[in-house]
Amino acid sequence: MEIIALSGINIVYAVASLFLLAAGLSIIFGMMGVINLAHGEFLMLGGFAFVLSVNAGINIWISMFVVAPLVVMVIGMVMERLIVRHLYGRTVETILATWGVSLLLIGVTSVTLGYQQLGVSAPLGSVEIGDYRVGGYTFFIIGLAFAVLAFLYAILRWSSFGLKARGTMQSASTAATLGVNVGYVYSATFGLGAAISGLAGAAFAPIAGVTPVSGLTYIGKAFITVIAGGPLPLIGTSTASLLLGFINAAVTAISTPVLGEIALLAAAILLLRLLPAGITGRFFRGGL
Amino acid sequence: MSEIVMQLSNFAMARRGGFVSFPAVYGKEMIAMVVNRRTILKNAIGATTLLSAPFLMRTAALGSDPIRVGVLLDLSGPLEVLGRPKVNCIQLAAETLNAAGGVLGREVELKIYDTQSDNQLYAQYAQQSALRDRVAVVHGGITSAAREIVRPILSRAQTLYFYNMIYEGGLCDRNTFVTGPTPQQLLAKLIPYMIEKFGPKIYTVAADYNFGHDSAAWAARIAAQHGGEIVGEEFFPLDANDFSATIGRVQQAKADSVFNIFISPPQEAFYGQWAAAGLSGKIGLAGHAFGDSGEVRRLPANVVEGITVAKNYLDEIDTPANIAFRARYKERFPDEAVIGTLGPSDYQGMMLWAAGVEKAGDIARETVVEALETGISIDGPSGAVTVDPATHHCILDVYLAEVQDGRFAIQEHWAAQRPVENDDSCDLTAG
Repeated sequence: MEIIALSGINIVYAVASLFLLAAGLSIIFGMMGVINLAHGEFLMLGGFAFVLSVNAGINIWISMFVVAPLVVMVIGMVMERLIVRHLYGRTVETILATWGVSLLLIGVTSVTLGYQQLGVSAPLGSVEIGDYRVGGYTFFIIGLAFAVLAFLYAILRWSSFGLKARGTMQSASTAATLGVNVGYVYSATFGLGAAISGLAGAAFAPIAGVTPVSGLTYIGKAFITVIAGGPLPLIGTSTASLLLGFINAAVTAISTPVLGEIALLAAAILLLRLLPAGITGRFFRGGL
Repeated sequence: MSEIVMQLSNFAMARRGGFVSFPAVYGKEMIAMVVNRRTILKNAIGATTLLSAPFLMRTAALGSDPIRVGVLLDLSGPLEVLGRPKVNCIQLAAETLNAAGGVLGREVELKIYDTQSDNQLYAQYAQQSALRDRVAVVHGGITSAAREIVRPILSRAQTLYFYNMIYEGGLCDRNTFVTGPTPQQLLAKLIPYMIEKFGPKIYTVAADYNFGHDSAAWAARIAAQHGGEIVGEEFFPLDANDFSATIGRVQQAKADSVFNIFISPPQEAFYGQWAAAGLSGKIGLAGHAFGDSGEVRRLPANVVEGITVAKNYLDEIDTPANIAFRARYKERFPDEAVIGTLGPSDYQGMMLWAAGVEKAGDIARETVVEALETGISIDGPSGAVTVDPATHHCILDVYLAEVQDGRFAIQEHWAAQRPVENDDSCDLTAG
């Protein structure tokens, strides 16, 4: 019984972490259509911003919920203004440019911050389930994923910024004729995606550590999740996280982590063969 | 995707730069050490007629050139944390040798290549060291994968190779000397200690490459010999960072202790998640590569407390030799908080090679190998280091320690441990 509960927690955790890793990308790539190969580096920078500010004596929650998202949002918006905005609609050039930014960020952090970062221990202690112990932080990650989903849904669905953003992504020229400052909306939406990525990077820093190359371990999964999710950024990414995270964790639970990863990739390939436009290309159409 | 991105970025890094020149890395004070070859050539040319110059240039170079020593270690990229103290120790060794009049009266000149945590560069720089620089010996290599790239290249080029690392054991190569400890030396002490202290059930988590697999096999074998049992064994890719399922399984298997054979950064992720699950102090934890890059100082105190290690060297060794070595290291590299467990093997490797050359009276590979095979011995920071002629490994001291209050507390010490069992599986001195 306890072991079933433990496996259940691990599965929910896998789903939640997949969603968190992909949430920022679901805005930037899923919604805006920018293939941001620097997404992993956004996560990495969030992690660094968090670790550095905690070690500078700033409260751990302020570092995670304020400092890390703000730092990455600023970096993301600068990148959008300087590079990405010239390349909207030009997919191949965007790939090249964002990949260049990714290499640049890895290089700069390697030289300046290096691989010897001080670690931050995960807060919140641990929880006993019968004979087993689970980190309280595991539940925090699960809660955070739900909070991020709710926040993004609320802001895109009900705020006037969300309405403008959705309108702009659907048809920038129409939105512009209706008086929307399209450039501002693009920039802010990109910043929102970057901020969410920064938050996710900070959330994973205490349990996964952070090095200049940690982004590389995340980016593949994030892209697979968003692509498998299909055209609706939020519903797509969350249903894809649910499906792929479940398969990954379930296979890991009965075999090994390596087979779990293989199962995740195999499931994504199969999914895209059956539903070439992703989950929300077939289901949940017209949502968010 | 991540695979492609990583390959592409590796490629980009490989393109980024080649040889890190000596002064560029180490500052002005090192320039003096590099003898200006052009000056020698000029003198040689000046002393004779132009016609015979090429011939004389070569003799002049042979007669008065320093002895070149190739160093292949990672000074950038993820492995920098391991490579930096190793290079520091090699430098300290070279400076010590030179201050004492050099080797055979000739200066030791280091040719340091930054391999940038990239195995392709190991191949390229091994070739450059052997064929272009014509070094007398190459010291270096960190991962077992890198070593296996360098080793055949240097064998072919007939250039002596020193691998100064802890590794998974099993090398038997006449051209290669290993000065780091083997599983027979470390695990034969660590595993019985874990069984005695925590209980017989050990769960192994390891990196999925030769170091992890072979070390895990050794752990299983030694555990069986001492009445222990491996209740679980898992291998992870080198970039793994989620261990929640495994931490559940360790508890499910009712393991008494976990033996961790990762290398950083997954190692650090594992320890962090282990502590977050509240298992520190509940289930024993030993780390094979723990302490190699200042983890004790960098990771939070509650995460590292109680982690058990077996090493050839620890900063905390309190012998007069090590107290002196620590002081010299601190003076030379004031910014480094600790030496770490790896670097002193490089220092000892350099000193052993120098002793071999002095004994041989020559830098030719064959005579140096023969001199080393006489069972040559030096006193290093970790204790006496003696070449085992049959295997080209070293007879070393072993220390067992546990993290207490943010530093290693040495629990036990064994002097002069043999690198392999007496099983005749490798005898390089036989015919």
